Amino acid sequence: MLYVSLVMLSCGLLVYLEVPKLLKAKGYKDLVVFLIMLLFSFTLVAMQILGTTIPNPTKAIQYLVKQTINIRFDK
Amino acid sequence: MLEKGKLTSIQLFCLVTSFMFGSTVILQNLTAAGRDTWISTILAIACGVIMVIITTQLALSFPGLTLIEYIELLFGKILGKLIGALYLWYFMHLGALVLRNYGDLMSITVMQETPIWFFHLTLALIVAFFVYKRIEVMGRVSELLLPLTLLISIITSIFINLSGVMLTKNLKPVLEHGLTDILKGSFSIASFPYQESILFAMIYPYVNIPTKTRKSVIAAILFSGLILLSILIQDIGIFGEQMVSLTFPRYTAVKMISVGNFVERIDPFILAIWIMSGIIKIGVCLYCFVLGLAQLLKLKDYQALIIPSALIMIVLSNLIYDNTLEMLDFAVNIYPVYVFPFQVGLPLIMLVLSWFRKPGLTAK
Repeated sequence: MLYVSLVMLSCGLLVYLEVPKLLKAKGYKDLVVFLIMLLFSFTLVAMQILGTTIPNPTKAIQYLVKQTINIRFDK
Repeated sequence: MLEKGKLTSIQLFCLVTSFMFGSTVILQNLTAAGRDTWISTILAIACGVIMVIITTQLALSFPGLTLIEYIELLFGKILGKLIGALYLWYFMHLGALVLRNYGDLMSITVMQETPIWFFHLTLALIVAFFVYKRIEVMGRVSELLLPLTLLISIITSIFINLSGVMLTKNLKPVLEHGLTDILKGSFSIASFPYQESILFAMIYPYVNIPTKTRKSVIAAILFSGLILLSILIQDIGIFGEQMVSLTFPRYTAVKMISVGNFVERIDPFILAIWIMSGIIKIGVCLYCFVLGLAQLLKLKDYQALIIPSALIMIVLSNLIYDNTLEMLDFAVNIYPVYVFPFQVGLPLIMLVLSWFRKPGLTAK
């Protein structure tokens, strides 16, 4: 929980540093994308710290590749 | 234009060389070809050069546009955005893979007690700062670090030769396993460092003299290929076919250096230099991701997206493998097939499409 609050604090710092710049440049679309990205990454980090199982993309890729073509390149 | 900086062709050369050198030097190992892997490496370098010719041709036919932008022109709006998003996933995934390689290297070899996420976090923060300073600084940093990398690889080569651990008998017999295995090996090696130059399709428009791009990138691939080839031959000379059982062959080779009972255990210094080229590799991946995302969504700037993307990269690299053996299996067996569409398939389709759709595009 301590780590989650630390990450939250640093995300807050990031918002404090970045949002005025984006508002000044009138990049409202930028602001929306930035906030969505930050929310998404913060959720991922919090999930990982709290030990929730996140689906592993490597497993999906492995399955896909083994279904299409099954060659081994090592010895 | 999103990126106002310009690179010189020498900076591009340094960037590509460090990028190729990046995680390859730590992970380079034998493939299906066994002790003939060095022959497959030569073939793989040739494949890399051919792909560079194709991607620079695309960059020349769309001056000032990056990969994500001309994908949208070639494939249309919806399909273009979809393929662009796939490419963005590839950039992000490649960055996470390289980050994980370095995390594994540190947590297996030098700092066994430290949890792996710590290396990912610290390395990714440095990379985020590196990317935050925009492309010109990235070019200058690579210009500064490349001589150091070269110096250290030459010094280690000399020391390994002086230590007397290399034996020519380990390289024989040549062509023991037949040609098929050599071709298989070259497919795998080509995908790992040499054809990854597709990432630089995002950077080609920011070179100050576009006509010099092709020459400098080809020179970089040949140069880094030559260094990596010499490193591989040394490693095969030391370990022979037993090299497959090692996780990080080059690190083990460096640990064996012993010159006159005086020059010993120089591996931490070399590790530090390797991490520097790793930072450049992860930095290029992250840069391509944020720039591509900003171009795909037509944003004004990409700087704000860097730290959220770096956070996603850290999470991805933490969860991507359960253990090191899985990493090695993925890097050798799954990765070449998985990245084939990104590195060879789509660029070839784009080249053919650019011949047909070019007149319509220039009329616009």
